[in-house]
Amino acid sequence: MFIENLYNIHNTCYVNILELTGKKVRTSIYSLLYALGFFYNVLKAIGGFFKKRQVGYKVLVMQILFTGFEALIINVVMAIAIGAAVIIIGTGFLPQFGQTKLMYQILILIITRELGPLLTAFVVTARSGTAIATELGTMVVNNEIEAYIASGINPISYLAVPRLIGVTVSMLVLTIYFNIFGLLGSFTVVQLFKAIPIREYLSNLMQVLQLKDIFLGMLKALIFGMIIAVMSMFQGFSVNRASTEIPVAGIKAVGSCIVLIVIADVFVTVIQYVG
Amino acid sequence: MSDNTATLTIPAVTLERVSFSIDDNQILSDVSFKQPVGACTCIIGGTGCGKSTVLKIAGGLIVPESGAVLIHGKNIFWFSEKQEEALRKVTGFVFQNGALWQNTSVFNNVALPLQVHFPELPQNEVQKRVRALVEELGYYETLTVRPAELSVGEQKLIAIARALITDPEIVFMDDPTANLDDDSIEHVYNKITKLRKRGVTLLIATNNEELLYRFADYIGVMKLGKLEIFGCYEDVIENTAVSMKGTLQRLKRRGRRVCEEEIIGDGSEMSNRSDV
Repeated sequence: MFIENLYNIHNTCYVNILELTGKKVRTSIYSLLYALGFFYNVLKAIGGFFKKRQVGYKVLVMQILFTGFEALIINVVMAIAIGAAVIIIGTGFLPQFGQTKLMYQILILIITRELGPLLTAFVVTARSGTAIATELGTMVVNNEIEAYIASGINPISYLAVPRLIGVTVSMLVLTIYFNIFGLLGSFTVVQLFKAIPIREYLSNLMQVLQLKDIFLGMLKALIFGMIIAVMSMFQGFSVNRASTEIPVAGIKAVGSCIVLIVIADVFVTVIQYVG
Repeated sequence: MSDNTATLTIPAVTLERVSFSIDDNQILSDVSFKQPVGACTCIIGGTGCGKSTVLKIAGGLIVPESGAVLIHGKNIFWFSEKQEEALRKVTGFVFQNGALWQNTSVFNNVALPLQVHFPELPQNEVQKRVRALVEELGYYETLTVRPAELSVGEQKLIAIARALITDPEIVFMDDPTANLDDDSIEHVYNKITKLRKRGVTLLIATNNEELLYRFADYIGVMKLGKLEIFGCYEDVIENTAVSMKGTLQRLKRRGRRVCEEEIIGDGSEMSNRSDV
């Protein structure tokens, strides 16, 4: 009897776990499909945003100011620190194998192609992604979105489009700054520990730097910016009625952004090497 | 339904067998009524009976599960983007909680609908109109502050101003006198009087007896998501076999209102009272 009960409990738990997993996967797929539909609607509204005399320009400027300008210091500090770390490790480690010049190649790969867009995206997700999701969530709970609709102001063109453009433009600009400070700013820091002639550093850097590196970095920044804006807005707009859903929207926004950014990063990296 | 509504040609707002639920919770069941052009209809009922939901569905802010919402005879959920834009230009909505946009100034809250629907208006004209309207509603403070810095009552006044700034033809008001002091309420009554004189259609969710007595041409009584009765003021206050008995009895005790005068213009009709 006891064994039978145990067996039943085991079976029930097993079925429950399977059911729950299935439900979770199904919900995630539906959610992603809804997010894609939302993205399509926002893209459709972009044309109208520029055509009409839009009051949303102010929202766009504010978004660029918050996402791009205010995040600049964190981004610059991070770029200089990582660039300096790569140079210090490279100059200490690579000469042992007679590969001193490989340091510049590694520096370009890490700063321009990989960590530049990726770390910038993480900073923007942490700052602006959560801010967008919680702000929009609060607006939903307070009926502010309904008030926009009632006043004849389309929330997609007034709230979503400026945020998408603002975050994407900010991502591109921040990545450019990350590249500049990661490649050049880090050099000045390294001078404190190890003197490298500037002429030698720059000529070696320019020898290995290709347009393709900058283009791929920018492509990633563009894709990551769109992911951050769309997923954060989608999670914010998905809040229903309770204020307790607002922080959950922030958490979900960060989670979904990071997962999708990493997947997109791998995807672009694979394409560039396979292609 | 009262015979009065049947005689009117095209109602301003019509709800046809509207039902709505959230998850398994049935909020509205089979709600139907016709709101004549230029009339003031008040929806009354106990807390949580679905008054606000009726208003939001009538205003096209919530899509019902079943049924239809017609504005001037046209189903609003079939509207194109342009038709909806045109609809929003001629309708105003006052939310129960004000629902002011917290990320911008009080001025922008009132001015934004005007700037969107009338982009050709110069900025000084917008400022003039916004200031005139808020002062008409009894708000004389600065407009540069954020809504969070205002009292709940002041926020309500600004919300009313936002709904009326475009001079709409149909106004939906969810408890417009809630959280207001007596002086502010009187300002709101004065504004409603002016709206009625202009022939504006009003659909109001309220339990305020004074507002009902002064302005209601039609009353709908709701209970547990159902419209128990809908009819003209005089008919409904006679019927005490419905909920909100106390309110209806008190209105009845106040006596019949003085005059029922019909004003006909532009094919629309409205009733007007000398005591309003």
